[in-house]
Amino acid sequence: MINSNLPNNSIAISSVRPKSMFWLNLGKNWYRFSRNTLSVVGLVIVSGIIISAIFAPWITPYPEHAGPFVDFGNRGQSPSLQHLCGTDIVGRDILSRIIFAFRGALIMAVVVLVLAVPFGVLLGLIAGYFHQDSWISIVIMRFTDVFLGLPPLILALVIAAVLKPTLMNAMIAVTISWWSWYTRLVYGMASSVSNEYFVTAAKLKGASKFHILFREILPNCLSPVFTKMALDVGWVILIGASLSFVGLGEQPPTPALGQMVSDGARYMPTFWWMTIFPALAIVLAIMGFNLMGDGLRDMLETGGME
Amino acid sequence: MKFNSFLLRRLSLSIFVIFGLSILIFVIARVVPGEPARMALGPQAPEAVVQKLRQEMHLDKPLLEQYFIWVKDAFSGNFGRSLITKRLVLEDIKEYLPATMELVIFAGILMVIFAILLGTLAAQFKDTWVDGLIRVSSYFGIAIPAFVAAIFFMLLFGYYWPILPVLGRLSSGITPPANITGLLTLDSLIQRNFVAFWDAFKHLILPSVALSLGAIFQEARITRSAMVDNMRKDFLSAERGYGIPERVIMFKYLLKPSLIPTVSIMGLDFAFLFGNAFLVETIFNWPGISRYGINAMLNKDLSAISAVVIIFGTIFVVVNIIVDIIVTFLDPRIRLSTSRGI
Repeated sequence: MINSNLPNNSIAISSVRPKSMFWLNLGKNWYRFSRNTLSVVGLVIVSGIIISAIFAPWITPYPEHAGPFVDFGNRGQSPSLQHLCGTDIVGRDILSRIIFAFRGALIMAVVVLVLAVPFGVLLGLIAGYFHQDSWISIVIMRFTDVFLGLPPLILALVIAAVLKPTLMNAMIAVTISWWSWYTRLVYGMASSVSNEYFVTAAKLKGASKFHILFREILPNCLSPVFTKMALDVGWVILIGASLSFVGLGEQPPTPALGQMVSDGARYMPTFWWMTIFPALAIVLAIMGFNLMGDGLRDMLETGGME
Repeated sequence: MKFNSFLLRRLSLSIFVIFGLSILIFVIARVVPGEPARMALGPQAPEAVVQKLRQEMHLDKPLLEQYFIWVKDAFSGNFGRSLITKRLVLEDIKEYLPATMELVIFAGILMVIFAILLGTLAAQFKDTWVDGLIRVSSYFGIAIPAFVAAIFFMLLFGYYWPILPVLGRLSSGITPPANITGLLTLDSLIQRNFVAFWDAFKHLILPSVALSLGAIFQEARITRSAMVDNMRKDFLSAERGYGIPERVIMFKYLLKPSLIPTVSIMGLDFAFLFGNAFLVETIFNWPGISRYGINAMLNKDLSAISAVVIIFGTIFVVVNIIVDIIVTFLDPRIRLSTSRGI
C-alpha cells in the first residue's frame, strides 16, 4: 500500500474517509485482513517472491546462471539437492533463473501500474466529475471505449509485435492496454460520488475544481483502485509471461518466466522440469497476488466505512 | 419500443468503437513501425522494390488519405497480401477463422455449463466439503494461465496418458467432412459422418478446456456469491410461504436473478478466451486465426496483423452486444431504466 501523506491525522478527524482511517486503525485492519487465513498465505507468498527477487544475487544458489552462462557438463540435470529445480539445456540452474525472472516480472508490474493507474484514474475522475452528457466526459469515455474494445492480451501482443522485442517495449505495450480499465472503474464511482451532498457543499463554499476533484472525490474512489492494483500485479505478470512466451519480451540470455516455459516445452517430456517449474512459478505468483488482493478487498471494502 | 431504443444506442456506440479501433490499428500498424514497406521486405531488399511496395501500399500519400484508402479496402474485404502465405489475407482468414470460432464457441459452451453448475452446487452445499472443494479448485483454476494449462495437458495427455489427441483438429487417417460452416464438428454432424465428428470432438476437448479453465472458475465464484446473496432475500421466503415447489423456486426465482452478474462479466470472459486463444492455438498446433495472427506478429506481417485485430475487435464488440441483450432479458430493472433515459 502506497500512502504519500502520512501526517494526515487532522484530515482524518475533520472528515470520515476510509483512506485516512486506514492508518489510524492499523490493528483493526490487520484483524480484518488476517481473519481469512488464505489472505495471510497470499501475503506470505507475495513477500517471499518480492524479497527473493530483491535479494536474488545473494540468495540464489548460482547467481551467475541468470545470464550468458554455459555449462554443458551439467546440461539437463534432473532436480536434485544441487539443483532443486534441475538445470536447463545449457546447464543453467533453473531455480536461480526463476528467481531472477521474478525481478523482470515485478519491475514490469510496478512500471505498468505506476504509469497506467494514475493516467486511467485521472481520466476517469475528470469524466466522472463532469456530467455524462458534457463533451469532455463523452470524449474521454468514447476514447476509453476504443481501448476497451479489444481484449488486453491481443492489444498488448499487437503493440509489442510492431515494436522491437525488449522488456521496455513489452511494458509500454501492456501499459497502453491496461489504463482503460481504471478509467472505467473510477468513472463509475466518481460520477456517483460527485452527486453526493458533501461535493455540493464544497461547491457552495466555493472550493476550486482541483480541490473537489482531488480532495473530495478522489479519496472516496481509492479503495477499489488499490484492491484492483493488488489483484492486477498477478495479471500483469501473466500478460508479461504471455508476451515473453511467444518471444515478445525480455530476450535471452536474461531469464523471463514465459520464455523459460516455451524454451523448456521443446524438450518435453524427457526434461519436464525445464518447463514445469517456471510454469508453477507463474501460477504461484498469480495465486499469491490474487489471495492477497482478496484479503485487501475484504479489509478495505467491507468495513472501511464503519 | 424501450428495448429497441436501448439496442439502437448500444449499436451506435459499437459502430463508434469499431471506427475508433480502425484508427488505433492504423496508427499501430502503419505509423508506429516507421517504414512499413522496408520492414515488410527486410533490410536486404533493393530500394526499387521497396519503392514499388510503398506505392502499392499508398505509403507515398498523406497520412489521412492513407487512412481512408485503408478503411475503404478493409470494408471491401481487401486487407492486402500476406507476406508469409503470399496469399490474399482475406483468403487466409476464410481458411483459419472457422477453426478459432469452433474452439472459442466450444470453450464458451464449457464455460457457461460448468460455471453455472459449479456455482450452483457450491451455493446449494454452502459451507460443506463440496463448497470447500470447489473454492479451493477455483483458487488454482483462476491462477493457472491458459498457456500453462495447455502445456500441462500436453505433457499429461500427450506423453504419459495418451487418451486424447493433443495436436491439430483431426487425425491424419480421417477424411475431413465437406466444408459447409467450417466448424468440423458441425459439418460432420450435418453430413452424418459420426466417425469424423467423434474424432474432431476429441481434438477439441483439451484445447477448449485449457482455454476455458480460468473463466469457468471465475464465473463459478461469481454465480455462487450471487446465489448466496439472493438466498437471504425476503422474496424467497414469501414464495415458499405461497407453497411454490422448491424446484420452481430454485430455477425461476433463485437461479435467474443470480445469473445477472455472471452474464454481465461474460463479455469480459470472452475477451479472455479470444486473447488466450493466441497462445493455446500455438501450443496445440490448432490451425486457427490466432495462430496465424501470432505468426504474422512474429514476422511483422502488417496487413495480416491489422486484419486479424480488426476481426477480433469486431467479434468482441458483437459478443458484448449479445451479452448486454441477454442481461436485459434477465434483469427487468435495466430495461426499465433505459426507458427512463438514464
